[in-house]
Amino acid sequence: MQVVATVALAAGTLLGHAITQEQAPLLTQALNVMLGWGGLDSIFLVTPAAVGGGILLGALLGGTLAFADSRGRVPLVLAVLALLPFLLSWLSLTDRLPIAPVTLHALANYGWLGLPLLCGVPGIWRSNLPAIALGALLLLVQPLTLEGNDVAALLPILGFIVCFMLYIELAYDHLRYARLARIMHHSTEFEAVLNWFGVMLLLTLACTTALTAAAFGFHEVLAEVLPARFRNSIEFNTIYGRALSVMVFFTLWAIAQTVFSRQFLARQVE
Amino acid sequence: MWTRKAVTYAGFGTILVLFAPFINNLQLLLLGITLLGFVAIHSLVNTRPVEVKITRRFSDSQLFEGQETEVDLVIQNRGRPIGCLEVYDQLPRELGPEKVANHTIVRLRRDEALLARYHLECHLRGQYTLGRPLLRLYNPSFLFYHESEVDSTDELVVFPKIEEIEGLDLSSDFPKMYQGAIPIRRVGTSGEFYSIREYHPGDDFKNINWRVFGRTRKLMVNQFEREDISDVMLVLDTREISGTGTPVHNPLNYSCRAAAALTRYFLHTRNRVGLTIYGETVESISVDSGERHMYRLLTRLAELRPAGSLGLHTVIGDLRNFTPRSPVIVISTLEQDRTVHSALREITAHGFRLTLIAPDTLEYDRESRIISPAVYFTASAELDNTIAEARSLGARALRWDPSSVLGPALQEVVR
Repeated sequence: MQVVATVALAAGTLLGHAITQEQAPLLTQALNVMLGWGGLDSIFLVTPAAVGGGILLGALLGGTLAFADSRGRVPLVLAVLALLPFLLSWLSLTDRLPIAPVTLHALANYGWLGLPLLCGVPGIWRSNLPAIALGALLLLVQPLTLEGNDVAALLPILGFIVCFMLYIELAYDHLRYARLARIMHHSTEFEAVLNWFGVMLLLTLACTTALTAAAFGFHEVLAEVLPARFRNSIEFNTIYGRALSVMVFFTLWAIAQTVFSRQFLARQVE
Repeated sequence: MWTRKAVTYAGFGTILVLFAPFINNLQLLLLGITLLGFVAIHSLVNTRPVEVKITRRFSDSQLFEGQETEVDLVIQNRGRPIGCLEVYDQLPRELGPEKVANHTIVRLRRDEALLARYHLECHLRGQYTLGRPLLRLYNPSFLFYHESEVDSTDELVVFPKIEEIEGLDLSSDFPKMYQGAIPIRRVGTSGEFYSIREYHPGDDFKNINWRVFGRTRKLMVNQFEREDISDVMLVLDTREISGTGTPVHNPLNYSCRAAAALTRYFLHTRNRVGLTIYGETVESISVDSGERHMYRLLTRLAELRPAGSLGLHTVIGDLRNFTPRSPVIVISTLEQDRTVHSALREITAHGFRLTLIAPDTLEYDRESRIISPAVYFTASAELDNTIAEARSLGARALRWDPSSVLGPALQEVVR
């Protein structure tokens, strides 16, 4: 469960940047601007190689943090990680270390791009909910650009969504089941429950994909049903119209489920 | 019911769907739809009510304080298959839940029955009700849950701990021979041989064992079993003050243990035992013998709770109907009872053979800071005075430290 979640997180980071391709993400641009204010060069660049390096460095540092946490030495490792860039810079500037500034800049860039893994990996392996949530947030926000994206990048988008859902679901559910396992260390049924969870997760993800496609395609159904002045309006034919169609779809779903669910009918009988 | 995770997913999904158009971002729109779809799909999985029957089986039918028992929880599914069901057997606070694993998670197929076993440590006497078990039905991703209770309760009686008492002579000087004397394992004057000992001047010549004399050239005398039956009345103080202390260390608990030990001892030596309880009301269980009577008394002792403030004098009326000159054993803290002096005088005046046992937890209460040193010294001096007064009336009185064994302490007093 944890291994799959870690792989999903790494793949999500890769695909997140693949969706935006050559566009500079907003947060990366902001960092470069801040460096520019200090009279420094823009060292944060998003390239496929840099993203790959970032993932590896993030996984390494995240793993180190998780290991340190298991030994109760997180503050020490965090202090070393915080001081290390300054130490490396100082050693490099005083020619005591044969690492060129360019290499140090690349390391900083990798560190920035690997930040979702740096947070997410300890979250997954040490069952830490805030760290999992922070990893998910960074995974989502870090590659965002102002230009947006469309169906041209549909495959990476779908891959990213699957990875995101797998990461968040497996990490969170591992946390919950680990908590239950601690209580129920004697239970022989626990394995059966875990197997059931795995199968159900795959099934529900498949159903969710189908439902997502239905909700996305509901816009076309609505176009058939609505009067022409709505159907042909500019608002309806942009992403705003599609978003509203999605909301209408889920509103109808909620109403139908409330009316036809067994609990509701049972309450009416009572 | 929605979990926080479901609310977060639905809220976050809605925000993403509504926000994505502003930055023209299909990725966020699709992620929002997926989150909403995930919640919608999961609202259909493993959330319908279930039909589960739960029954309990205990490994021991009789339990005493400090013993452990195994509880088998039989969980039987009578409806649809259930993927993830949490079962939490509700236990009284006194029986758990420090080490008790009364919480389990199971997967149940249609009509399947499973056994969940947990150990119960019974630290404190009492009559407990186990149940009703709580069921929590989660869907696989913890988005929705449904809670219910199963109507399944069981009674569990934990008897007071019983200490072995041997060779204690608290019975009457006037045994009730007319009921049919029964030999008891004690030295007496019946025809049943008990043991042999050296001759002491004054021993009856007819008891000399001449065979042994012929063999060893030593004068030895035979000892015979004593035969008697007494009616013994135990008087137990259950006033509210007897509950002072912790749930485990309080005078009432120790009183119940002493009463249980004496009950078993007297009944096993073929006497008849009765019990009078005073506190909130006065309740009497008349003297009787036999195993069934013992469990009746033990069950009553298990149920006792501290309540009321009736003094010892309230039992005098009931004692008037009791067999004259029989042993009466009062087990009381004697604290804050103004009637105790007159009551003791009256009991001895009626000719009852009075034994007074005062479980003393004052030392423990002081060390645990339940009472102040000043209160300790006052209460301790008062207790000593009462004990001394009881002794002056001819009663055998004992200030009993519950950390010591009751039998030897009582033997000291009887001598």
